[in-house]
Amino acid sequence: MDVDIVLSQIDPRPMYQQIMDQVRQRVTIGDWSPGSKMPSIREMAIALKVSVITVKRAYLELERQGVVITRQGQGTWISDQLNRQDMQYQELEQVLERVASIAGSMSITDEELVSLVRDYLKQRGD
Amino acid sequence: MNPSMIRKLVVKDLTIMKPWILSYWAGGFCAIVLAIFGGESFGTFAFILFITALGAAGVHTIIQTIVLERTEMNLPFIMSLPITSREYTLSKIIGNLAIFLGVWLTLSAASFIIFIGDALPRGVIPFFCILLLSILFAYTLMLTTSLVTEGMGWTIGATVVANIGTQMFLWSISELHGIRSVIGGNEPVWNSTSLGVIGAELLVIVACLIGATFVQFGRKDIL
Amino acid sequence: MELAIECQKLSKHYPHFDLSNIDLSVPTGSVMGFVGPNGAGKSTTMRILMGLVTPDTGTVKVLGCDMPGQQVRAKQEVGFVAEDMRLYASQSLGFHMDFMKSVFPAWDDKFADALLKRFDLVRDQKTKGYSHGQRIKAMLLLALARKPRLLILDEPTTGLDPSARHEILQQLMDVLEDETRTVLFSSHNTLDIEQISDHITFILNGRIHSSSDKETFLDSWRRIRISFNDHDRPDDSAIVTSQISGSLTVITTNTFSDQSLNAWKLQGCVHAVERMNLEEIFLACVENEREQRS
Repeated sequence: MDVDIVLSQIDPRPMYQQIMDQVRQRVTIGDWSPGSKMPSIREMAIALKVSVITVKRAYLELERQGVVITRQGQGTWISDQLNRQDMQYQELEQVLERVASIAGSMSITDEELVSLVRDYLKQRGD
Repeated sequence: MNPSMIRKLVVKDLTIMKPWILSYWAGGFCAIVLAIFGGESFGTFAFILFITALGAAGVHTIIQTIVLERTEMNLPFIMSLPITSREYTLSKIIGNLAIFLGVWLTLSAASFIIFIGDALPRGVIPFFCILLLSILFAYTLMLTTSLVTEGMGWTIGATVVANIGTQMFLWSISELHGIRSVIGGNEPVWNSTSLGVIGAELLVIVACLIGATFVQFGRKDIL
Repeated sequence: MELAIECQKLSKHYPHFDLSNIDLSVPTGSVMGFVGPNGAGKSTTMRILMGLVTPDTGTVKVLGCDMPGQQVRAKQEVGFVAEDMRLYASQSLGFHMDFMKSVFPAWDDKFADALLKRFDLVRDQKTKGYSHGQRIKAMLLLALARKPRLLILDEPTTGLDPSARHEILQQLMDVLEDETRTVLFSSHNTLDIEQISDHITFILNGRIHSSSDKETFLDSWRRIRISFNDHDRPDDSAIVTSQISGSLTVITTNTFSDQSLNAWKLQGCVHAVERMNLEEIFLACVENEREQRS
């Protein structure tokens, strides 16, 4: 599996999240299929020129989300239990979470937010 | 102490100094040739050239391998190698002495050729030996000063003091009865005066070297 | 956890500067980034680690060797490059390479030649004419080709153009392919440190300000924009810097967690919580330290 992940220096997200998001993206679009072996933490770190600890953290969080499975001393695999649709839902949820938090800080009520979304979709449909 | 490491450091300094040393050496030999074949008119010039070549070989090596090594920041590079500061100090003393003694001994030995003809009375030989040793002493003074003080200013100061001091020393020695009375003779006379001065010179040279080594070995930080 | 570097309570007194109570632990196989303003004591600490400077008090262990007592054994396996260090100007890089080869049995000719190409250096060129970048690369080549177990690098990326910096960071990361090798490097460039370090140590004014693994460190810092309910804020201890503009106060904190966020929310209306990069944290630390001194 090639490590062709590119990180952005000006992306405000922390580096471990960028790695997570890119791994998830690879899986979602089907580049990295369930059950395939991931690069080791060290390999990934060297390829991306980021610290081992950052990659380790990304892998840990991905494991917590069920995206990857680590077998002690053997390596890390993309989970074969993984359902692409679930992943896509998770991604959608993340975006929604952000939308909800911005709306919250703007004191927009849930009803207003729903109607905003509806308006947007309608506009896009036109 | 790791003799092989010290040897590598010395060889490194020899390699760096080689082209310079060869040219000073050649200069010294030219002076000797000039003294033999140049006749009286070139005698003084030959003498100055001889002293200059010897002095330059010593001063240049000291400044290049000790003073500039520090000011040009080569020292941290060298000290990052698996050596102790004592090995470093020894390598500097051995390297500098080896270079200077190499030049000094060969040129000194060769310079005795001038006594083969009749140009100079052989009675001068004891005084000439004192002169050669006083050059070695002046060199030792510069070497030890630069080792201990680790500075350009002090080294230049020592050079000036050694230069003037040597001339005054030689002048006062030449006024001694034991020297003056025999200098014009046809054969060298080794009396208690000349042997005493030579012995004292050797003693002071060795004492200087031991003293400087001792001071440097007691030092905590080299940088 | 095995430690490549272990310092305890290092102190060194100079007429105009004091290094005090330096504790530093660098685990084997990791990259430690050493951050601090000019004159904070980074170079002095590194020189003590190399046995070049003897501390007044404290103990130093490098690769299991006591420094400076066992420095010869330790330095056999340590590569040291400092930004102010110079090669012999009258000699070529090849001269230095041959010299290093004679000193270090582990010198790898093939790797040295590969680095020569990668760094775009000429073997026979005298180092006198080197640019700053070429100089750093040449010294790094000499340090890397002997395959040291520990690299101590003082400002290796300062003053380099982006492509040279990139190349050097790549080389440092390649070193880590071998899990028994360790890197300690200092830099003003917080981006470099943030990118490749596993651990970060902040040194300010001769003292260690903080030292922890990078992820924990970055996670504990936040910038919070908050309108306090009343201006006599009860929890001053959690604030590193604060700046008031109108009703809004912008604070930085180094004890951030979900719980502390809840505590902030009780004290006022939290408008935004922002992560900080290492540079911002660095500036906050320096500002805080300056205020405390005055």
